[in-house]
Amino acid sequence: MRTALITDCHREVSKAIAVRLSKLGSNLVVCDPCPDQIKKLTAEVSGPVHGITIDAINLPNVRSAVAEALQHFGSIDILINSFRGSEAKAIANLSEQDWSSTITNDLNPAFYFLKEVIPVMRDNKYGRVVNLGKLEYLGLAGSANIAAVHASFFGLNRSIALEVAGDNITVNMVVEGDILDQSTSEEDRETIAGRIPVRRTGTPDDLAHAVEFFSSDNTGYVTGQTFFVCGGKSAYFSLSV
Amino acid sequence: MSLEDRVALITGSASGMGKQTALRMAEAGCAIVVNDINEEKLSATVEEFQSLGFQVIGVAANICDKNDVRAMVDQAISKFGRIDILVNNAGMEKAGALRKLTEEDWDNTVDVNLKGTFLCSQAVHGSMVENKHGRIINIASRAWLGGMGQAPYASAKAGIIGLTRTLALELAKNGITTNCIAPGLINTPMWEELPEKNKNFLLTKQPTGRVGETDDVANAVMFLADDQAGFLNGQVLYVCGGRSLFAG
Repeated sequence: MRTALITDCHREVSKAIAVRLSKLGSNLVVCDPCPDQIKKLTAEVSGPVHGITIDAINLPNVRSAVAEALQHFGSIDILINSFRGSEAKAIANLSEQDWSSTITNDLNPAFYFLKEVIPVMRDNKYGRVVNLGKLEYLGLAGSANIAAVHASFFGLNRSIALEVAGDNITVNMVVEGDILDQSTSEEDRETIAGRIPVRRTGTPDDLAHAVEFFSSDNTGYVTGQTFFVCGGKSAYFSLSV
Repeated sequence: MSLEDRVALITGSASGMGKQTALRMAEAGCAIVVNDINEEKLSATVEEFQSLGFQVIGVAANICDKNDVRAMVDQAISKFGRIDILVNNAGMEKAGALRKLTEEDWDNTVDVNLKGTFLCSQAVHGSMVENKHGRIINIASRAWLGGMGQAPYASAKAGIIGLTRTLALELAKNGITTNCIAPGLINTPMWEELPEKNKNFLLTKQPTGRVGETDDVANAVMFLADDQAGFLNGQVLYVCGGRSLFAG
């Protein structure tokens, strides 16, 4: 039985991933700064699950959370490195504070979890790391802070994939296109869908399908990859290959 | 996974990656159209699949020939009513430095790899549009990134990626996704035939330290072919053990 650690509870995609991995038989460790979000997510999951309240803004906090996860389940086989989702801003409105906060909330936690979990996976000679990113990383007007952070994931993903490939650990990035939750209006949804080749917006389950693949025992020969769940929208960007 | 009751046509599936893909899809509940240009291997594979209780027909066809392709697709639709999944797997490679390559080497490589993919996609997509559902999965190669002695092969495989992205834009509104898998080193008869010295050299360049298996590719095809993969479109999925992070 595998154990998956998911670094965020509040986004719908994180919930969809948690539910799917649990249904497939994984133990779950779910982390979030907000206990209520942890409670909501654990209520939706059928299998063994342990919630950890943690603000992943520094290494000691993450170290402590990983230690607690190991104490509870004994191993971490799958790491789903999610992110909080900072607000995208155009350069004219992007303050130094906004910039720092995007890095603190969306980029640094990914590094901290990798730093603490990779050694565990190396000891066990097994691991599946899925870093979640956003399509904005290809460059989108009005999203300089988001693009920069998620482009960083791209480099981080590839570098660490090369470092750990010989230890039976795969590291891949799954990039979210327009994966919308219930809060988006029907009108907005239709407008956005009109710009996507499959003519619909994505669902959290679409993303969970891809995460399931990259988390699987059978995917040991796929590593260092960046895979877009976007309905084909990435094909409009020149650097998506 | 959700492939039950789908109909899949897999070109070049009498052996190797194509056969393993066909086998896995059959196990998942697909009806299978096995295609190959080698009639002896084709018959053997069809017989094997039938003995396992799978729904299968075999169609010998040259995928570079428009009439052959049309007849193959007509036969498949006549038997199974439709085609839901097309795996453009048939391919070949003729390696050689630029100065040694002939025009025939170029034409054959581009025809089998790229023209075959185009002809089959064109022939099949009508059925998919009619049924408002389709999965086109093209088998390219990590080699598209460029490699010594691989001018025709790299060019043809790069062409498959351009074709994939284009079809992904054109066909998606009809419920058809088009994606591409780019395998790296895979354990096939071609790999087995390499001298040990060459194998060892290639393995030193593999981040995972191992060569892939045909099942690694089949697994990736199943992922993209799945009913749940409707938002996956226009993608290139490398099954290469991390080797694609480098070119050459």
